[in-house]
Amino acid sequence: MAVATGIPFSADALADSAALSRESLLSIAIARGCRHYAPLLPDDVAVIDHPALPHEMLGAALLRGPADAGTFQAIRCGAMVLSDLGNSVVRIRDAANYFGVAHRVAHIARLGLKFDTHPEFWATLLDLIVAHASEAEFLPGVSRFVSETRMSGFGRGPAREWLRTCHLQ
Amino acid sequence: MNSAQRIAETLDRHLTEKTEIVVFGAAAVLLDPVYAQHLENRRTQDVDIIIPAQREMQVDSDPNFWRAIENTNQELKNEGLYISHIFPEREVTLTPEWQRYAVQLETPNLAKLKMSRPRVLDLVISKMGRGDAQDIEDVKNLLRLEHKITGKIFSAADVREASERANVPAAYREIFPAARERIIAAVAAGEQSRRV
Repeated sequence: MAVATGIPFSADALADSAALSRESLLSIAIARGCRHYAPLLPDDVAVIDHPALPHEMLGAALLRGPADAGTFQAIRCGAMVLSDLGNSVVRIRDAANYFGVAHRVAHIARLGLKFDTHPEFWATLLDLIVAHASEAEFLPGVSRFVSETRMSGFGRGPAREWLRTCHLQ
Repeated sequence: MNSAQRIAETLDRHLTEKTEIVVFGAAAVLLDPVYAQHLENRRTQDVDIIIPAQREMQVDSDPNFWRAIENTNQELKNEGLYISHIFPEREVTLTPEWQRYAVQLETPNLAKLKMSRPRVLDLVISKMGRGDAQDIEDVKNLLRLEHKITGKIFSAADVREASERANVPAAYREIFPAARERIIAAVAAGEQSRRV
């Protein structure tokens, strides 16, 4: 699989994404395929895409926030967005640096390298990310980034699938 | 009808014979009519199931059950609802006596599907396999709801005592001690606030 590198973000895209609330970001992510996280959105908030927002920016923006339960859920949703195989790893790095969430991206990437069926995507990303901070106690474990069942019918056994959007494919 | 009830109703239609399941996670309270009426704003996209040890082999080799699960997921795909997390009892952190105290769920509208859920104490213990920020939030909400409905206040001592005899799956043994302490701390904080 070729890992996309991509062109840099425009200043407008950076400013736009920074101005969006978490609710708006979740709404866009759900519109782009993160339906599992629909319960996080209040009933009166519409699910609407914002086509101008780069997918990598969306994913990284969702990773922002204090170490609390709301951010924890947003990180799970952001990880699903960042896992899109059409994303540019260079743009993920740039977005992560812009939002100050490189260590959270690195955490997701390390788990992806170990548990996803597309380790090459995460290996390329990890080569680009410089992360010093650690929040090991707070950040979601692998079970929060996958859909997993231990039983799936006679002869089929356990199944685990890394959650990712297919918005860019 | 909430989303968990919608999933259960769909599964019921696809089953070909009477089937018993044990639900846990968010669906456990959303499928319990006593609790569901207090959870109008709570939603879930999926229903998690525990298969008791004595039924594991039978369920695993029952093609009708798995076909019903597949058909349910297919029918609900466009609504983003599904049944996906099906765990044998040996892979869930529970007390040894959990089945004795399981709560039967009243679902008069379902023809073939009979459901139960672990008691609240076991739902709390089941969160100790991980004990992350979301699990802690779930426990806080669950105990707040339990207090609102039954008036019961869970004590950290009761939860600790139950956790000491819990069956902990091998995959969780390394993280269990720290996860347990985080969950017990959340129970203790809730206990303190409700006793004031």
